[in-house]
Amino acid sequence: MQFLKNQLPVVVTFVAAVTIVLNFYVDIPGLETVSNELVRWNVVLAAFALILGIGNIIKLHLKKIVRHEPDVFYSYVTLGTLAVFIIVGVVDTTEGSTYQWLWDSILLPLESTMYATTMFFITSAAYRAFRVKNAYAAVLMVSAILMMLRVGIFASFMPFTPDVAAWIWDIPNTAGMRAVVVGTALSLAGNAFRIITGLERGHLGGGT
Amino acid sequence: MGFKTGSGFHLLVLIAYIAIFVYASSRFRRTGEVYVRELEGVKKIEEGIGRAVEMGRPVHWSYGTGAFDAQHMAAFSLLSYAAKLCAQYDCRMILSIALPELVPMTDEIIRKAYSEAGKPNQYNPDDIRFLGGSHNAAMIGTIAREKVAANFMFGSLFYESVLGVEAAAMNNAIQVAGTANTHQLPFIAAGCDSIFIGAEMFAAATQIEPTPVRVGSTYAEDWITRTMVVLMIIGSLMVTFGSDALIRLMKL
Repeated sequence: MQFLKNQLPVVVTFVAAVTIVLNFYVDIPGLETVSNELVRWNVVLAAFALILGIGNIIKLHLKKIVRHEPDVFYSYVTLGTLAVFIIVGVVDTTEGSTYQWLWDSILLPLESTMYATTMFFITSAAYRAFRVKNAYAAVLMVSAILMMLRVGIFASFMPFTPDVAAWIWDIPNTAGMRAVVVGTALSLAGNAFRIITGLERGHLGGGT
Repeated sequence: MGFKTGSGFHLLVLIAYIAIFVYASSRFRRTGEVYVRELEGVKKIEEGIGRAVEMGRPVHWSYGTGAFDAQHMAAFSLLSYAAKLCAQYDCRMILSIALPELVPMTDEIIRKAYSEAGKPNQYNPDDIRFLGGSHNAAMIGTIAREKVAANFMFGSLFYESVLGVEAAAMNNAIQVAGTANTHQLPFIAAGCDSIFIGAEMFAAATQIEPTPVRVGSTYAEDWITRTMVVLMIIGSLMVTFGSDALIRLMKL
């Protein structure tokens, strides 16, 4: 049991990852096909994981229904919607007109609404961020104001703002972002190395 | 069979990484000496959990909605740390999860944290909530209804970072977030008490538990980053003076 839980995932990870990494560096006949196939298997594994996720939703909401917890109505809605989407998806396929109608008429408007509310959240975040509490917040506020002033009617009143904003965007901002990207990329590679070699087992519930 | 063109420099970096990693981890094993810059975010996680315990409220955790990548691996180390503190101080932790593959891994990490704290019976798997790809509305609802006292968001964050952080701000929650997605950094910087910028998320694990593997890895990453910065400066100067020799060398 311990082998299945601890050693086997490390062995599988090592073999799969070394195959993919090797394909990046070395040109061996057939290796590319195997590597691409392994990457494609990721989709199959994610599908299995989805079953676990659905199991989690069903278990959670059934418990709420059985215990008559507050807002149990939403649990009925969740489970009902889940059942409808699965049944229609299986019977009509996800390309079918009924499934597409459900998707376009229910999920898409709800997601668009959710995304649209971001405007209010950003406004609230901006209000909190722009309260000048220290020197960093002051720099942030001045930069943000200059960035906002570079467009629209303000730019015609203050013609220097687009140039200043462009300088902020192209020089300090790009330099900062690139520093973050380089550091992060190396950390990602380092982390990948530890996982591939089995030195890092955090995802298996262990440490290093 | 032969080496692919354009991968030579990558291979060189990889070999250099492995060499520095082996040297640094074996040196740490021998001497036990390490310097890791203290990351404020790690303290803030503890502070957030402490405050939640005092207020008798839960803490909330989210990985964001981005596809599974190495950022999640860094997040697992921080989750393990936070879960151990929660288990130790009897603080409830609610997790909003968008990706199904994160559910079993998260379950394993939290179960282990409770076992190590000697409280395996207090582990409640119902607090690990798989909400699917469109998890943002449910996440905001959870944060608001449960009146969380601390909110932690680590992983591949997208626009849910703004939603989660602002929803938790309404509860006056202590917030710590970290991501390598540069497009979300301004939002978490604006809303959180402390943040981990990109590589800091990975370094945090070394600060929490400095094992030879983690110390070696962080040391190697730091040195290669420094080398890259030097190469960028040299490359910029060379290009300015009309030479692309370094670029051609890197493309070998």
